Amino acid sequence: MSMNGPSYSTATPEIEHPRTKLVQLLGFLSIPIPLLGPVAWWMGNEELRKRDDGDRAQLILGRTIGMVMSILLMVGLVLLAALWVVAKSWLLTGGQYETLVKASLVTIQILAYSFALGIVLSLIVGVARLSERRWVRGAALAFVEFARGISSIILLFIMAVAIPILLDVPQTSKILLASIALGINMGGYGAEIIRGAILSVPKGQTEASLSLNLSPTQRLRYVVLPQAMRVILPPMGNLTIEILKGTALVSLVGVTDIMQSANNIRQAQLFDQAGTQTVLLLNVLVLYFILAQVVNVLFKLWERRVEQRYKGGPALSPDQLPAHIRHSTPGVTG
Amino acid sequence: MSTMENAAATAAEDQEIEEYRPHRKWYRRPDIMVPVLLILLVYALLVGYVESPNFFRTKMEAPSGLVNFDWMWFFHLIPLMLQGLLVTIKGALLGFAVAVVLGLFFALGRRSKLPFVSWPVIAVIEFIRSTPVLVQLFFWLALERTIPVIDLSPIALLMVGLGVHYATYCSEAYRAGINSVDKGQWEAATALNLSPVTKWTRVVLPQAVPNVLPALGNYLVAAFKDAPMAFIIGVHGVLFFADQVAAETFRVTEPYLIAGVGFLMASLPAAWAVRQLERKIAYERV
Repeated sequence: MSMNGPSYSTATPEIEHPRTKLVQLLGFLSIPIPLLGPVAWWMGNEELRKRDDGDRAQLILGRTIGMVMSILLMVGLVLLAALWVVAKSWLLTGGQYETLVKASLVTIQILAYSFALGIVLSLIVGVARLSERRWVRGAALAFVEFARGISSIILLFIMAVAIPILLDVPQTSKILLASIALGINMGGYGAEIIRGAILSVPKGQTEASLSLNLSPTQRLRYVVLPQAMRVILPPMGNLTIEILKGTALVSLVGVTDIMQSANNIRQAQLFDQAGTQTVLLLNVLVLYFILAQVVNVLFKLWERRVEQRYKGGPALSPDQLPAHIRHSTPGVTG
Repeated sequence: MSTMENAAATAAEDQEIEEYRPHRKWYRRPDIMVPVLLILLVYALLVGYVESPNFFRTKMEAPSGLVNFDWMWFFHLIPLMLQGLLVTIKGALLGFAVAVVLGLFFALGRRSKLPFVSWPVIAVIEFIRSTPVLVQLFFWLALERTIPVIDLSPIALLMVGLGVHYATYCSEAYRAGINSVDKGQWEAATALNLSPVTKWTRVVLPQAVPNVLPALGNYLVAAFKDAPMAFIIGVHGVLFFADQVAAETFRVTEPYLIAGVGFLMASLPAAWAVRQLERKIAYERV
């Protein structure tokens, strides 16, 4: 096709060079086949140097993908090679996996304790932050600021090491002390979540329950909290995963959780001269990831249940109503 | 008469229009430049002048084991604790600098329309986000020891570990910010035939980043709270100080308590400043 002079009538100006398409194709192909990355990178550079037309953006795209993929390829190859040279394997032995799974029960136990304490604390403090009494609000705010401001690991050391000596508490259960520290930490964040959720419930609901003469406890239990649940659950799930991540810290005060048993396995490895720490820790990371995903799925299921309850069923006809309501509803006979 | 009045009014209007320059360049706005310069100054001072002490040794003799708590010794530990705290702050800031930059790339990768790009990025982000930073630090340490070519100081390791961990959080913040940019802005950028680079650097990011500044500030505070645990990889921060003093004097109460107090003294003002920033930005957006 010959073009003499600029023509504005043609539908598609033919500026796409076949080699541009090749560079882009190579770039995209380099994503599944990273070996092609350097080729796309080099070729795109050559084309960019030679030509200056409308294809620049596409050439740059192809070249960039090639560049990124070749960098990733290099990093990945280096990592794989380094691990292979040192470790000769990606997995642990069956006995080591057994130890880790057993230790994850301790982690789950600590998570359960601190979750229970955290939920209780966040409910109490979250409601207290909305109290009408000034000093209650102030005390709750002070707690929240303290729990959110302090590092969980320092709090853990204070709880598990300093407090028992300061107050002459016997250091019988480190698990319990560590759970208290993590629970306080969770309570601070959870209180803010619950406070925000309570504030997000429309004011009419509170007023309606006041006019129905519900006590404050009933109001909270039957009217406000069930509606606030929709707002509470998603951030609470994230917070629980944060606490699960925080449980790794208890290994530093001498509780045999996943991390501590990984250290023990490491000692055994050093003794046996077998296995490497990198592979071991990679497996530990995967184990924590699986635990976090379990927590995530549980919270998602809970969210769905709450969501369905909130949606409600179809409107019932008078015949379908439960008997005690049907009889007390005016205008409905039978 | 009326024409003169009209002319005067137009002139005044012109002048007013000339006076009113809401879209000054960012580097000509004192309300942006003053904090930026201050932050840069503090940053440079921290990075340049804070050096981690090799050991924390108390000059005063520790009280005997019969007393649970000794105020004199508690106050005596303050200067040592401040040294450790500065190192911790430095580590957190260095790590967060990595996180802010890396997080943007994570966010862009996650937004990519190519599933080959976005899926691995999502996988990496989710994996890093849901695993403990403590284990990650150990992992980086082991990796660094495994590969003989790389030789990183403990604080550089902390920088990598915290940076990668918080980059995933920052990427979520950036994603929210980018999604909050009005659809019309994207369409206008397309209509003006802006190149992708121009569109991102001149249209999208300048609108997205101010919205996510409070979230980034929150993550900075969170990173600061995770920084003390770097004592396990040998960063001589605030917890290392407490650990060492406790090991040398066999008194655990005061060092850990003073570490907690000092930490609160640093993190509470930081959290307060972030909240002020949040309020200011919320006010500007209304």
